[in-house]
Amino acid sequence: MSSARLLVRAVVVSDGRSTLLPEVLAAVAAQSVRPDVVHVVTPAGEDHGAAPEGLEVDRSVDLAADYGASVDAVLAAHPAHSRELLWLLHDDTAPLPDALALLVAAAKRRTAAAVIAPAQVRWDDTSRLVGLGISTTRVGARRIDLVDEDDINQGQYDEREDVLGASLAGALVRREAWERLGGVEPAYRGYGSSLHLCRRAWSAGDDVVIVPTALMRHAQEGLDGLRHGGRGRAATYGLRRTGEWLHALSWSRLPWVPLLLVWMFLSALARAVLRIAQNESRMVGADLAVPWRVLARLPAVPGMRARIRRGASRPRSAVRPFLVGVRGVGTHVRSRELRAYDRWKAASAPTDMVAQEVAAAGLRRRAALGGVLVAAITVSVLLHGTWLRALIGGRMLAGEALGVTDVPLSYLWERTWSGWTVEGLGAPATDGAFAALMLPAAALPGGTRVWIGLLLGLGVALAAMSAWFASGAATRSLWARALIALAYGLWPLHLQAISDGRVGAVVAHVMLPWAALAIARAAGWHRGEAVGDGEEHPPVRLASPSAAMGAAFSSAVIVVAAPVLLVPLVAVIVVAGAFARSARWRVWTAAAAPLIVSGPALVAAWEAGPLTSQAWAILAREPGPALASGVTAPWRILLGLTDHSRGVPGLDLPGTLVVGAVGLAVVAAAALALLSGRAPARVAAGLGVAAVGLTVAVAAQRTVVVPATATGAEANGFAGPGSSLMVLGLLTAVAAASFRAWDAGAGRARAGRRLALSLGIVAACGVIAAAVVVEAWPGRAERGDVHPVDARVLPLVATLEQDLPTRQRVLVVADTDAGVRYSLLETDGTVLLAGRADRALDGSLLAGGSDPGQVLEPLVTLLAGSGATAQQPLADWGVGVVVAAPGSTQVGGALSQMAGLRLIGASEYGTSYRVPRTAGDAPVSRAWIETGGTDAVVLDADGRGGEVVTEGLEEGRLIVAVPDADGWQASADGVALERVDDALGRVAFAVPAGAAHVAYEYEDRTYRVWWWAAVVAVGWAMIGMIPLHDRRHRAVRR
Amino acid sequence: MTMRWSRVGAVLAGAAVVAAAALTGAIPAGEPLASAPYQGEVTPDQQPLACPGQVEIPVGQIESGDAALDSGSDDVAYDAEGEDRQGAGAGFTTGADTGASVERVGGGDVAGLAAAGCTAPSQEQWLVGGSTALGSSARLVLTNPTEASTEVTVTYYGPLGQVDDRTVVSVAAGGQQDLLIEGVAAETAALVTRVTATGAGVVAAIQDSRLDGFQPAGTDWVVPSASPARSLVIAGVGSAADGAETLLRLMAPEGATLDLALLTGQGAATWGGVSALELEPGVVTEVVVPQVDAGAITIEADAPVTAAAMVRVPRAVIDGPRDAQAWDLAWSPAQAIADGMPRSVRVGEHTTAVVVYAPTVGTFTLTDASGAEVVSRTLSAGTVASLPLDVAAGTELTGTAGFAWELVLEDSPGFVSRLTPRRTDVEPIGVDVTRGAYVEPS
Repeated sequence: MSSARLLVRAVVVSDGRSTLLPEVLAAVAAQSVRPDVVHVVTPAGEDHGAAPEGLEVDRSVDLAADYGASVDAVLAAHPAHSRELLWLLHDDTAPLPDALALLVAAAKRRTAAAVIAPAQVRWDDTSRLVGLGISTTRVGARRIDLVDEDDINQGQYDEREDVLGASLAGALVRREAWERLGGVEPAYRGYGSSLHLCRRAWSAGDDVVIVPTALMRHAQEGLDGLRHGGRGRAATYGLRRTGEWLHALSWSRLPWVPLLLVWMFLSALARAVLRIAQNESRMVGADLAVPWRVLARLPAVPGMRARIRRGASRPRSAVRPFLVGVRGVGTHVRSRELRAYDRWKAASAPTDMVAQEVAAAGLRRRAALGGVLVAAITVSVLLHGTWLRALIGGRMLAGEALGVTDVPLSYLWERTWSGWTVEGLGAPATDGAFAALMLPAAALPGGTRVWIGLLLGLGVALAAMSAWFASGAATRSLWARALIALAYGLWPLHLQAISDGRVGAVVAHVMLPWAALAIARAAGWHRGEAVGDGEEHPPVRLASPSAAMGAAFSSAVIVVAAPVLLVPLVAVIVVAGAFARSARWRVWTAAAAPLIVSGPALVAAWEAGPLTSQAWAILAREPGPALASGVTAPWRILLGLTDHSRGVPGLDLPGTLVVGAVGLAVVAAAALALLSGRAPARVAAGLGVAAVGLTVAVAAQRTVVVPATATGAEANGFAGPGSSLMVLGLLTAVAAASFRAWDAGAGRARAGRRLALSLGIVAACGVIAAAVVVEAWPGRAERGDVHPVDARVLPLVATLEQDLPTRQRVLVVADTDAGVRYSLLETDGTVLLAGRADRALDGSLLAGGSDPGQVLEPLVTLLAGSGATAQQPLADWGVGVVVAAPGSTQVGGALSQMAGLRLIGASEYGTSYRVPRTAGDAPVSRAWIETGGTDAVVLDADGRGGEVVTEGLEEGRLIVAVPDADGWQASADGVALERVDDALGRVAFAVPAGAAHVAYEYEDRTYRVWWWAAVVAVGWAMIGMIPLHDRRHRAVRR
Repeated sequence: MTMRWSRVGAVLAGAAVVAAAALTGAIPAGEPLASAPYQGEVTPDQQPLACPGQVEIPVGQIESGDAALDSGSDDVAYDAEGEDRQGAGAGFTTGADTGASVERVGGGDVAGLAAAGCTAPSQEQWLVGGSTALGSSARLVLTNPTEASTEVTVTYYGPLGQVDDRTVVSVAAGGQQDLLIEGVAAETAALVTRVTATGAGVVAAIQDSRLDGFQPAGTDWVVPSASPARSLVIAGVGSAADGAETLLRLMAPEGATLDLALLTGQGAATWGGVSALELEPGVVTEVVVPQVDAGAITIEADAPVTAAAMVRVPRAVIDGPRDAQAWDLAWSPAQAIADGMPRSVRVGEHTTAVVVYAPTVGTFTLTDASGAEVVSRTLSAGTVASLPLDVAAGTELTGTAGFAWELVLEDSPGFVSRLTPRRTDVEPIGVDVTRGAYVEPS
């Protein structure tokens, strides 16, 4: 240790954007040991007042506005002293009085130290630590602060001395080292340069020392973004992350650099996803921009690496003990989480009394939930037990509107990915969201057979459970919640939807309460647990951004399942947002996902003329199972009734009363809720929603949603989804009014009220029980036609042909009283769960493309009448197998007379006939090339494309046996083929001679754009609804 | 929002619900949903006609040593008419437009004239006639002239309604099957038989043979009547022979109320008790028809009915017990002449006359295959004429469209039969084609 005096040259650099400079200078003046020289660098034209009394200040003006450059400019003007120390001060760093003395003492003690840094504390509270040394991981792409921010300084770190790095703000740097190392690295632009300089010092044989007892107040104005328009710490996040990656790139071994660059992109993606989950949507962009910012600074990296290499005198391993390993990073992140959790807990811990009450209420609530769950499942088993038994036995549910429920995953995927529906002979669709909605059910073990079956079989229980959870946001009364849950589950039109197999309406009914719950929580309107005397716990319930995303997701599911609810749901979200005060934007974003997934329909509705019946018909479309239903008076829908209510045999009561009892009870309860005057805002909201729902239900029922086409019967809208919204609103009003109703009033009035409530509850229980008995009454006619059937529908020989690359279609014909009924099948049974092509009221396709008209009917007539041969026209449309349904002896006999058909098998699943081509031996197929030769060249096809590799092909025509549509394109050896006209209205291309590889495909670009938009919107909502970012638990790095 | 404004809002929202329930009923409903099936029509391939063949003796050939008591007879003349005849079982098929078989059995159990016009195979046909009462036998003969086998379902109707038992039988291509209805629907005095067949159909005929004790009570072929329709005509009713009786047999599958009229050369004859006659669904009803020499019955019903008339002609028994009488019978199926199509018939032996009913005034002409006029007569509306006919057996006669007519076959001693003309064009078959979900092999 040398006793020679050290020269301390303080350099205060200001960018002119801080107001703290006078205080900084005052603090310098107040030092017990003053610096020998004080330089203040400010931008031109800035004057931040005179220096404090007794402090000589050398003012200079710098235009660079870069910290390192400003310091270098000062040093250039003042020759170096042999033992000179630089005291680098920012305009927001104020040393405590003995700071410099302690730092200088350390500098004298540690002569090898190039950097001697103080502990940084908060500007406004010097007992709280801000920084006490920095480290980084072995890779170097993550800065690790060696002290938790805002940790209380109790001297616990006073032993710390050697650190990898420390903030240069307020640090002493030996001028000799500063000049040798070349000052701070400009490529960092201020973020990460301290660590870089310190690490270079270590590498060059110097030490970096921290002096925990020397305290420096640091306002962190740069970090907190005050210099960048005051957008908070998030504003500098991108710069900091960029600095971290720059650090990693300059310090890692050369072979790792390319890997780091790849990792950088992957990391940015993963972090972006995490940001979505945290609902930090603004940070998504910051994270995604980081790799590109790094790439922009990449040219600086070779220079940095060269300087590091040149200046190195210590081996790399010398700093290794300072670097943080994987486990250290884990500890670092976990302690950040725990700290946030502890802070929340400390802030929101209830009193013991309240905690006890909440615990007791939780116990009661869980018991009630268990009871409702058991009751709901019992009701489901009573009503649909035969279905559940059949599902266990390997059978599936099926019905006229439902179709078969054993749908292969690949079928649904092809439908939603390609946008080409295979209904009838095929048609282009504008959206494939319904098939996408069914994908999860198909992907799960058991497939749609089990999961759609369970959705229908347990539809009552599922709806009851959603209503239970949703009602918790409006009331804490367990009786009210239980009754509301069961009433919602047993809503007559829900039962009708289940029995009809209207999967969309069932999904909407089950999901609506979740959407309502999510909107309530997103706006912070949910009730807390009722404790004490009129208080709630927690007393203030914050709006939840995750819930807003949950609302977006559930609304998207609802509008896919029941598009008619798009308009009312968006309206509800918009109105709710308007009342949600500060959470309004969060609530309003919930409308984005449903709007985007409905995009194609909205565009089509707009093009049809926004306020026409055509537009409404498009908005009210039913993509999934649909069925014609009788138009009823609005009051019947208010009670959940269809046009005809079946009474109970042996019970001499009108069917309307028997079936409508639940509806009557709900309406009566809602009326009482209104009359009670309790929770008027919520009751108003509920009743408003109910009015909208009822209107939608009535309007939907009076709209033709499936126009009559050449390929199917028409259907009007189902009142169910609208009535689900309506009953949701009514029950919301009931729930809101029931909150604390038991404890309201006092004395005699309260006793009377309690008696009335008790009677009401018992009466409601009676209505629920009666409704179950009525619905499960043996011998009563079924509401709909859904029933269990064997999972196999077609003869094996027929399904085999469907799965071969020839993709033959199977035509099933069956006798009826007046003729014949047919089904054209691509799978084992009619699939209606994949969504149909959207059509205008006149039956034309919204996605364009031609409708071939009645192609099949004349063919089927020929088959039924044992007339002229239908072989050629069948082959022309790729029908390779004709099946006479079992028991259809008339048409079966006619088929056996047709010379062109060949019997290939008869079984309990029907009698199958093969349709051969009239010329040549090639099998009938979906696509083929007709040439001059006799044999057609058959392409290997799937639902949306196909190809063939052949040789010696003559000039010919490629024919795809689907109706003409724009999206079809074909190529031969990579060259696009020209479309040619086909007399039958099929897709046809001219194939040149000698083509070796011929392929065709369906691709609709508009569809693809909307498809990806919907995926992004729903994916965003799904990730965002993970409740990661909650105000109570904010451990988010910004 | 203050509490007061909230209250106002709640009341307004409640009013909105009530208003929605009250006012939305005014939203116009779309057109009523009607998904009419595609109505296809197909003209089937022309199939050969078939005739059932010779009559069989219900009890078999029993020889007693005394020819008068034998069930069979040596005096049998079988006359089959029609070109390109080919054997089909005991019967035959013909590629011509018409064909006929006439058989005269001089003695034994089945003595009498039995004539049958050949018919085309059909998927559904109604045979009105025959009896399985004691002493009677009804033999259903199913002939398949087509090139594919067919499965035939036979349903029986009697005076008590539809018989529970049905018969399902398969008939090979070009083959014939016969079955005795008394084995399925015994003791059914009035029989209506519905024959449905798969594929291109089948040709059905019933041999109606009756015994009155030891005396023959008549034999004839029952050929299909017109499919149940609201307006039917039976021509060739009645006989000039002494003691002849006529019975009308009616059946409405779904029940019907109908009016009957008996037309003669002088217009409508008096026939009491047959106005607004009610038929129970599926119940076979018989009505006694007043005796006329030559007449026609018109049937106007409010629901589809099918019908046929039977005429019985008595004759004295030679060498028999005193007062013993033998009978012969002839069935006249109902025709639906409202289609306005001409009909043709192949003349068999013993043809003596043609009975014509004119619903409107007009000239009725019979022409042969060469177009030569054989008979022509102008009739006034609602009258019947019996026109003597003398043409060679095997001649194909075509009558004017719009008239109901039938050939009368008679021979001594009191043998009668009838030959009914048929449409020779191929009728297009209407097929309602509907599209539907196929979810299970029903």
